[in-house]
Amino acid sequence: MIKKLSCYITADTHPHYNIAVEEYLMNSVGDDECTLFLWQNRHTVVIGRNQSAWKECRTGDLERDGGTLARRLSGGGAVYHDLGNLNFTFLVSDENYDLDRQMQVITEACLSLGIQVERSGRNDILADGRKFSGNAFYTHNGKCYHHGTLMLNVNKEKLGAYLNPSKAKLEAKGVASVRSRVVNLSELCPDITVEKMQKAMVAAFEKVYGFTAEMMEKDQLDTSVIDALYARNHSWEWNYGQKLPCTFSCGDRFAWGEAEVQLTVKEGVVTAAEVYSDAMEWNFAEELKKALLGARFTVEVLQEKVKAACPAEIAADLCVLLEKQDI
Amino acid sequence: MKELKMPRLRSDMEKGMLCAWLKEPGEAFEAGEALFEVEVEKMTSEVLAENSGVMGRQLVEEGDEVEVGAVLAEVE
Repeated sequence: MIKKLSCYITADTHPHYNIAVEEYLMNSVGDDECTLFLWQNRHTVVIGRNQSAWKECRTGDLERDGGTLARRLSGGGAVYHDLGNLNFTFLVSDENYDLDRQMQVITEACLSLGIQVERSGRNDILADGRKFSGNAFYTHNGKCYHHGTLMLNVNKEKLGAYLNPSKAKLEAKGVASVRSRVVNLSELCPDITVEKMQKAMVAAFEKVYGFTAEMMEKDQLDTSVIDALYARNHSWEWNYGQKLPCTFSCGDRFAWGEAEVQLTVKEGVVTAAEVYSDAMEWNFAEELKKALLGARFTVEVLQEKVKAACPAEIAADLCVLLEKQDI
Repeated sequence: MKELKMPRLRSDMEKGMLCAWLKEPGEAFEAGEALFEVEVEKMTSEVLAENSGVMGRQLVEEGDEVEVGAVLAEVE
């Protein structure tokens, strides 16, 4: 039974750090406690636990624009975050998990700002018939969390740009994202701000649970534990190196002939490669195939392998082809 | 030989995706240890062993979606 509420509102906006804090708060929540964590990520695409980064996101565009890709522990699909979005997380032990009650906090908070909202299915909350909050869940070792987005004033153009990858030739096991019609709450409540939403969430949290929440400060957190989780969240292997395999292929016709490269990628590394070409003058396919095996699946590394294994003219064309793939 | 099946983690659950095996074939485990991870309806959960045993042949690959009750692996 919940006898204590705590709340942590962070000013940090790095997604890998915030996701680490979220996991730390889950692991440290008391058996009689419910913690509400309110946080924001700057310019980020967050993918679900079992998704392929390349399949769900224009990762090249995101990185070129200074954005960050982050993988969360919960399931579901890819979402775009910027400072027009406020994230919430309810952290409890398994026995205190109560989805209806947690959802009620959100609906009460919106209502207090004059916004009528409704739940849709298990996971979404709608305003004006459109989604502004997607929710996902994670359980581990007797503790669990329910988190989600609150779209206040998210850049929808960027959301659409990064979450619409064109990789028709990439197939991956795992969870595919589902696109929804979305709405920013600022369209319905023009004077809404992140600060107002934070205050409304804390007030609704206290109202629904019937206790005053103890506000946590950053110096109460164990930074050594958070730093270790951050290191994992920040690693290329965690964000890109998904355990579930994906297959990738690309090809084109060039002045010297046609070429197609097919790769199987597991944990971010090429585990199988096939190279087909009808180029009459050079027999580079076998060399390239060998070179690609074991390579990290990034444009830069693949280009290095191509340059090492192919004659210059072919390498130049294949490097341009790889560049276009937006891996 | 016993069978390890996809559990019903929610009352309305019909299918779940086996995201990751947490024990390899031949690996011994104790009751309470996590055997595999499942994703259903945007929730990821670890499924714990009810009894001690040894992981046998795994019949479902990581990333496969299967119905509740489907046999996932043999256990000894």
